[in-house]
Formats: sequence, structure tokens, C-alpha cells
Amino acid sequence: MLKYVLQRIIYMIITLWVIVTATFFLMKLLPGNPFGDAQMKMSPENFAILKAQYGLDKPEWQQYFIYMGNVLQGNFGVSYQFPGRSVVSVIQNNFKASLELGLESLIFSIAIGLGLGAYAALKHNKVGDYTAMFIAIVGISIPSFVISPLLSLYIGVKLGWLPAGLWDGPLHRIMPAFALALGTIAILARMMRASMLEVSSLDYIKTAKSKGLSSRAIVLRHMIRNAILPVVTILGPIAVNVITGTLVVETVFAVPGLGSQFVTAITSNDYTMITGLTIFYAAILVIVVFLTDIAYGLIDPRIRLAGRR
Amino acid sequence: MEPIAKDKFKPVEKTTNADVIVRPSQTYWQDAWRRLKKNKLAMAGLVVLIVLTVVAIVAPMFSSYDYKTQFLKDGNLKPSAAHFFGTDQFGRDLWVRVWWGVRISLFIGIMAASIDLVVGVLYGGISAYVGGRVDTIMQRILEIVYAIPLLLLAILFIVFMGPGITSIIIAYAISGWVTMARLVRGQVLLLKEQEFVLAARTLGAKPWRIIAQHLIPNVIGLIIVQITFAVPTAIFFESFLSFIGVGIRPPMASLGKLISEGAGVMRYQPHLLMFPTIIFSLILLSFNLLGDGLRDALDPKMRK
Repeated sequence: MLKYVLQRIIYMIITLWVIVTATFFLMKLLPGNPFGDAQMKMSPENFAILKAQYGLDKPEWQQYFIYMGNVLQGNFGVSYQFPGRSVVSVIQNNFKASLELGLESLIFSIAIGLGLGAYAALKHNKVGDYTAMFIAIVGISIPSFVISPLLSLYIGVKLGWLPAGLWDGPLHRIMPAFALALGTIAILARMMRASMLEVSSLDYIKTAKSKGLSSRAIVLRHMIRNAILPVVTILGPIAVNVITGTLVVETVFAVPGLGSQFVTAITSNDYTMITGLTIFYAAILVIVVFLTDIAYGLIDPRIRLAGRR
Repeated sequence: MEPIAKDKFKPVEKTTNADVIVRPSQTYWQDAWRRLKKNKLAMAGLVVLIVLTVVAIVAPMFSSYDYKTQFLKDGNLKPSAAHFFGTDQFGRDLWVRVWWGVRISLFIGIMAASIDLVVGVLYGGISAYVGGRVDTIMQRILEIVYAIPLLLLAILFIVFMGPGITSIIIAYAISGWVTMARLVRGQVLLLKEQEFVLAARTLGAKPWRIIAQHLIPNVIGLIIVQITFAVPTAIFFESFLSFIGVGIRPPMASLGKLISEGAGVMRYQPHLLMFPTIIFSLILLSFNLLGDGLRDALDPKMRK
């Protein structure tokens, strides 16, 4: 197990290194120079001083190491558009709302998605199965940027049942969390259904049946418990889903989270903010994937054996 | 019990061609097509996709409007006989803009899937077929690429390279092939060990013959299914980028861009949101239904 964990850690570090490096070189590709028009109004001496101040007079490989060092210390630089705001302060101020939204949507997705998948599997090849799977495939086909405006328009504005935006009380949480959860619900439901069907034909279920256990006990204790295991593996893709989803959902519902900040940064070409937040998000995702792998390795020893292949 | 007729116990007449097959045997593709036809949802998806493609090609050609000319006095018209889907705030005909959006979405989807196909199949195929150290190295690279959240890097890439169809396709190409490569590699590894490949090798078949005759026909079902899923993923990708503001450049309109513009004015002009949304969801839904159906049809073993 220790060997497996070490191996995953090394992969995680390499991945993060690739991301930061790619980010650095993409920044270097940017046409023009970071000072824009300000350069025109400056004397060459002042411009040289300014360049030195930001370390841009050094050769690129040195800049690369300096950049790497800064990122390692959690220093992502200062916003281009709002020179008073550092990327880290934006993360500190806005990440909380995003995290909360993400967790709430995860609760929605796990409850509804696993339930729907288990239900479909129990009604295999009956109307209930087809209905549940049709709902799931519709869920996959309707991305968050489609469902969010629709929900906001019909439930928020026309019907007025729930607030159409902002982030004030528990009622404001329901629609964004659901809009964000929809795709995940669908993925989880399909995965859970497949997993349940696989489990249901195994010998220990037959044994349980022949022992005369009630079907309720079989489903709850034997099928669902074992079927949930492989579902853990898709937590990584789900995290991707949730994070990309927050970009849209937060923008539509005016949630003061990191996602809407990211979109604002993109639309206003706030380069340091974009790169800083990208690295931050990427790091979260890589860590989630790492934790998923470890968790799955702990639950299912076959995985770590396969990892050695 | 019914009495059994005596003549049932007579010996069968001797024939010289004992191994004649009663029914003509069906090829893999006929079989798959038969299974696919039985799946109503998948067929519905296929029909919807064909209709949408035809309309997307034809509709802008037969309309007197185009996607970019503005008629400011005709702004924000509701749907009517002149403008089937109404007009946007600049008086541009939404019907034409939506179908242009479908064209762009399908174009990006198909281009992206083709890149997926070429790179993914080559990478996965070579890795599995050659095996050994080459496979190990290629797999390590793949694992690292797979772990990188590429949608985020794609955003960065497009922000820095400038928006446009080419950037989007390149950005997708960086990431898209990984899943295909993994699937193809897994399948080829499995096939390589099977007896019929061993038999072919023992009989002295050249590697290219093994690849062309034995490996490709057995992987192609999987590849087709994967492509059916890659197209909607790429369409989603483009629309997502357009929605958050780095996608197609105006005045060109992709579906994601139209949805994003529609969402901005949905309180007052809901038709600007509704039409692109419906068409967009139909495309994704049809591709997903078709993909599910194809997977069941082409690979009956996978069927759950």
C-alpha cells in the first residue's frame, strides 16, 4: 500500500508540475508585453526599471524558476485589472461560497443519483428502468449552462417559487445546487445501475436469496453496499463536472463564488487572475483524483495490485 | 398429451451436402444494424440527427437573411412567418443564426472526433501492439496527460491564443484523444492474446495482415461508439467555452453563444433563449441516445 501511495504522490507532483509549466509557457506566448500602452509613455530607463521590478529583465529560464518558486509559496500574483487585489485574496474571499455550493450539489447528486440508479436496476427492463434511464440521459444531455438559465427564468422569475439569484439564505441554495447536480445525478445513476446489475447476478446474492433473506435485506445489505464500491472511481470526473459547472451556475445565479470570479477574469482578460485560478482549480482536481485513487485502493486491494502491473 | 405422429421417427433422408446452412449467415454489420433498428430511442436519435443536419445545411441557403446583417429597426421581434424564431436585439434573424450555430457545432464535433480517431487509435494501437518498454513509456505519458484537467488548460489556451474555431478544435484535440487511446489499447491488449491471433501468427501472417484482418475489425465497433460520444462532448466543450465568453468570435454564432446571449435577456425576450436551447439539447440528446444504442448493438457482450 505504501508503495502504491508513493507512486500516486509522484504522479500527482509530475502532473502539477506539467500544469504550472504549461501555464508559464502559455503566458509567454501572449502577444505584446504585460505593460501594454503604458510602455509608450515611459522613457526607456523607466521601462527598464519597471521590467527589473517584475523580474522580466532576467532570461526566461530564470523567470521560470522564480515563477515556480512563487507558485509553490502560494503567491499567484496580483490582478491585472484591479491592482489592489491579489489572486490569493480573491480565493480567500470567494472560495467559501463555491465550496458550499459544490458540497450541496454533491449531496443532491449522491442522494438522487444513487437512488435513481438502484431503482432502475431493481426494475430492470421494466417501465421504471426505462423511465429512470431516460431521465438520466436527458440529464447528461442538458448541460448546466442550459438548465441554469431555464430554472432561473421559469421557477425563479415566472413562478417566483424560489429566488432567481443571489446567495442569502437556504432558499437561495436550492436552485443553483440542483442545476449543478443534474449532470452528476445522471452519471451516478447510470454507473450505479450498471454496478447493481453486475452485483445482482453474483453468487452471494443467490446464497442470500436461498437462505431466505427478505428482498429488502438483500438489496440494502448485499446489493447496494457492494454496488457502491466502483462508483467511488468516478469521483474524479464528478469533481471536474462540479468545478466546471460552478463557473456557469455561479454566473447565472449571481453566486459570489470563485467560479463567477473566474468567468469575470476571462471576459476582462485578467491574465494573472486566470492563470492563478486555473492552477488553483487544477490543484484541487489533481488532489481529488489522488484521494479517490487512494480511497479506492484502500477499499479494493485488486486496484493496487493492478497498479503494479 | 398429444399423440406423436409415427412419421416423426423415420430416419432422415440422406443428403450429400450435410453442412448446408439453412439461413444465409448474417455479417457483423447486418446483425448490429438489426439490433440497432430494434432500439426505438436510438433510431429516434439517428433520425433527429439526420433531420437536423439536413435542415442546418439547407435552411440558411433558402433564407433571405444571413447570420450577421443587422436590421436595427426589426430588433427583438417575436417569432412570426417572416422570422420563424424571431429576431435578436440587432434585428438578426434567429432562425438563420440557430442553424448556423448547428453547422458550427456539428463541424467542431466532427473535426474533434476525427482528431480523436486518428491520434487516439494510433496511440492506443501502437502502445498495445508493440508492447514492452514502448507501451510502458507511452502509458506513463498517458496517465500524466489524463490527470491534467484539460478543460481548464483549454480555457487558458484559448484565452492566450485568441478565440475562434481553430483554437477550440486545437484545444479539444490536446485532451480528447486520451479516452480513445485508453479504450483502444485495452481492447487491442485483450485481442492480442486471443487464440485466433496466435493462430494467424503461427500460420505466418505478417503483422500488417494481423492488424488489418484481425485487430481492426474487432476494435472498430468500440471506436464507432466512442466517436458517437466524442462528438457531443466536443459540442458541449465548444458551447461551454462560448457561454463563458471564450469561444466563437461575434458576429458568428454558435449555439453556446446564442444560449449565453439569450440567457442575458431571458426575462424580456425568452424566445432568444428557448430556441437555441431546444435545438442544442436535441443534438446532445440524440447523440447520446444513438451512442447508447450503438454500444448495445455493436457489442452485445457489454449489454446490461
